[in-house]
Amino acid sequence: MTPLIRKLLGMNWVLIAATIALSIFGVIAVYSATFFRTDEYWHKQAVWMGMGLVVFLVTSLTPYRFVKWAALPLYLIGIAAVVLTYVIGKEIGGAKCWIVLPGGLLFQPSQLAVIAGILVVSLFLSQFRRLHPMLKLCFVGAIVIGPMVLILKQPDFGMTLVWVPTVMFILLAAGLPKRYLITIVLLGLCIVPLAYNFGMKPYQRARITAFLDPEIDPKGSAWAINQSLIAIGSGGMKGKGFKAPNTQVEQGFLPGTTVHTDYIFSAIAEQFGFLGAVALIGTFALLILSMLFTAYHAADEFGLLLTAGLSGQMFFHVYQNIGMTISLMPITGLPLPLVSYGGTFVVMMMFGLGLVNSVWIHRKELA
Amino acid sequence: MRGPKIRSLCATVLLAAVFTGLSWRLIEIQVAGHEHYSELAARKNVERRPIYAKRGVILTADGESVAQNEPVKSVIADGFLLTDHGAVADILAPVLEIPRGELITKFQRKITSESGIEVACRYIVLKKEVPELLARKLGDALSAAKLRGIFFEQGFRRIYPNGRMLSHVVGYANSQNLGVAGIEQTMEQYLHAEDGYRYFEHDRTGKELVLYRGQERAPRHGQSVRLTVDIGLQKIVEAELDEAMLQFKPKFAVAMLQRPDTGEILAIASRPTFDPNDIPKNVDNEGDGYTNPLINRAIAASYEPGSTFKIVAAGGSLTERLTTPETAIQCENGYFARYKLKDHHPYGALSVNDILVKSSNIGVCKLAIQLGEQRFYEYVRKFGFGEKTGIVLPGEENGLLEPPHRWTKLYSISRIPMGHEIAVTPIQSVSSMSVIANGGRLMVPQIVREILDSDGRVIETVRPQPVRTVLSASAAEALRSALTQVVSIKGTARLAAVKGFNVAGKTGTAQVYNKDGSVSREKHRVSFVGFMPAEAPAFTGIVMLEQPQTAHGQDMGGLVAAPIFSRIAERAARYLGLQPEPELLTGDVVTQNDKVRTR
Repeated sequence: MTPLIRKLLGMNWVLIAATIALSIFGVIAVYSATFFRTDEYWHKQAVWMGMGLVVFLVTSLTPYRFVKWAALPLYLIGIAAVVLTYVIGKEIGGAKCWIVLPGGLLFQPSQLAVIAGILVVSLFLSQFRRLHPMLKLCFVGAIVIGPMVLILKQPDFGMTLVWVPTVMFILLAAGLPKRYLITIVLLGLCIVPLAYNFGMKPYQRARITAFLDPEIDPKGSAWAINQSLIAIGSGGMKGKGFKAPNTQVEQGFLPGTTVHTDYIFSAIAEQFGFLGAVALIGTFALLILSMLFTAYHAADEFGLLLTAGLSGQMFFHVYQNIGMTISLMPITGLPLPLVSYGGTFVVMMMFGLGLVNSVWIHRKELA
Repeated sequence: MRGPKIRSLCATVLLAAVFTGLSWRLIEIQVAGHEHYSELAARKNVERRPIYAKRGVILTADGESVAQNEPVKSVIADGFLLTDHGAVADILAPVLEIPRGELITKFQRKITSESGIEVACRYIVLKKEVPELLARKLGDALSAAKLRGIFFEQGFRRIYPNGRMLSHVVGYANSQNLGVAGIEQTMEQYLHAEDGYRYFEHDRTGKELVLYRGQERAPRHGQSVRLTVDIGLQKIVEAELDEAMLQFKPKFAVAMLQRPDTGEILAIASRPTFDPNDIPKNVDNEGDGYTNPLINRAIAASYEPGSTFKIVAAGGSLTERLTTPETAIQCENGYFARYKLKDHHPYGALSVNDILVKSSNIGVCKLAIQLGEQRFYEYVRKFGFGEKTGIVLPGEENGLLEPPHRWTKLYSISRIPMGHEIAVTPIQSVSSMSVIANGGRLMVPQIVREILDSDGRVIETVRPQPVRTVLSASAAEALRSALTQVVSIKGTARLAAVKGFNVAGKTGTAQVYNKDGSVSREKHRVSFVGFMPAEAPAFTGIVMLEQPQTAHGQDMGGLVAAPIFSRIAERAARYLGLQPEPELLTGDVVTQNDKVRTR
């Protein structure tokens, strides 16, 4: 058997199946949330999905150790691109998070920065295993604090927050002593009230208040979450059906600008009901489990940390996005991986999953 | 490997716990809370409100609006917001002319929402097409009394500012703003406007939450249609036709002007007529069919054309070079025994030219026999008879033309050339005369010139559409010269003459059949078809009257229709600024008192 065929046969099929199922379902979901207004979104999403699958395949077949060389350049490019959004960024919904590429494509540098951050942190921790845990923490903090602050100031609170569970997963996997991890979590909890009072903008504070008590301002800051709850709740056990008429989505009660991105889960749960929503969550669980499984079987420290970081990122995205639509989390604009409309994110996620698959394929090479 | 295992377990347990949390929350919302949220969804203060679109207007060639939209208001009640039904009804009842009790019943209407709950109807139409001024007064009265729950919705009503003028062409739209007659009907796809809509969410007081406006669709306004009709000429034609209606009291009458080179209809009028703002109900379609004012008889009246039809045989003969204008034809001294065919005046040999000038039945019959049944029939078809002309107006008739194998063996070939045993429509007749006027081409009569978008920009121009070449140029020229002599001192239509111009044309007087199928001796149908100036025609015209009431024997095309054409042509020439020929101004113009041949 040639190495290529061996690689093709040795893929992580559970991961691939879940990835393809989710991305195809994503196009269907975007279609069902926007078809009555425009065909543009789902057409584009289908193209992005196709491109993402190519990226996924290419990355899968490339040994992941080559990515070590790309880590630092990607990190620098990511930071530079985030800085660039301050200069030529396109403002959407009050945040300058996007760069318009030639041809009118929108690119979100913070998505690149997260993946690059994962790569660099993983690389660092795998290279300096013997360092004192405290020093490790300090260096990792130094790596992530720059991009985090830049993204926070865009302002994109959600994309900043992603860094925390992602890095925590890496640290957990890297064998950082448990007392350190617990201390970090406790410290984080202490910071929350301070951040709430001094670090947040008034609209962000209003969102938290609304999250805690949706009845407080049903026509204002809690409007969107209420609409989302009504949409999901009225969906019921079996849902109203694919493309059902007079859904809350079709009538425009979910914000038209974000129903296909941040609120895609509301549209899904309204149409496909509890069964559909649980199937979706189950598929995500399967995907993340297969990622963790890959991490456990990784051939080297870098592969392990990399996969752990990507699992953390995926996990937080799913939890935060679904959580906010069902009022388990405050509203922060984080897309649902592979399903939400958005080119950069789909391609970046496919790249990340490709890396995971590559870690799986090449797990025996060094062992 | 104790550590890694525990850590993997930690991650997996975290994952499982968190995702179970999501599912648990979903059960809370979707399974346990389903009823609650469904009710919320159903009870939402939402409504779909239409945004009215404007139907396209209809303009004449010179920009006069003949069909436009008048803003009106619909009075709508919101049962959810109405509190004091009695007080509101007291204010509305006298103004809307609806009984108070009926209003209150309407206010109390309930509808059943999706989840089966009975709620007050939020959209009760009380009255449509309320004039703007009245609606404003009502609104002021209600707000002065601090009563809520009534609102007014912008709408449009179709109005026809010119009333009876051009009504057959313009047609009318029904209450749903769908065209059901005339241009309103045939150009519906362009004029049609599609209302948009908008979903609103209200707060508890019924105030619209602009910020959370739902999905909406913009209204699509209709496109406008510019006709070829010139309102100046139309006024002239309508006025003269009204005059003729008074003078001769015909059953119905038609007059039309067409630009011969392009086939554009410049003016078109039919009597009896109607006002599209007040469409007559229960029109009598039974009986002799003369009374229905909605019929556009310019395209729908089929009648025996009589002598105006003689141009067909003569034109065919000349184009086929069977004869020249000078060829002498033996006219049997007034009686053609073989076909039992009579002339009104006995003639010996007449040139082809003179056959038309003297309107000899025998002469034209011989020309047709020379052509042969089949070829003659083909010329009749070539002139456009026996089929619809294709003008974009509804209700056009074919006329009546039998193919040769169904003709009566002996008589048809002698009777059809003189315009009997065949039925034509006025529009066919005027188009066939335009063939001679424009040098031999049959044009599709055109009524629509341009399509404009709602901002008045031209988006489509309708080009003149030739159907076929009918006559050779020399034949058309010969006919033109002959028809000019018809409207001269020696012809049958001298009363059609206009001072200062050469007029070419042909009169027609045809029989009317009684109900039992016999030919009436008393009733006639008279017409004149012609064009002017003969050398470079600016318009072709037709005047046709069904059974004019005159002194006995005076109901002939040359005595009734020709003078009407003369008056229309004279005024039209002045309106169009045609230059009269100086030498023609001095000649004597025939008056009605002269003894003239008029067949």
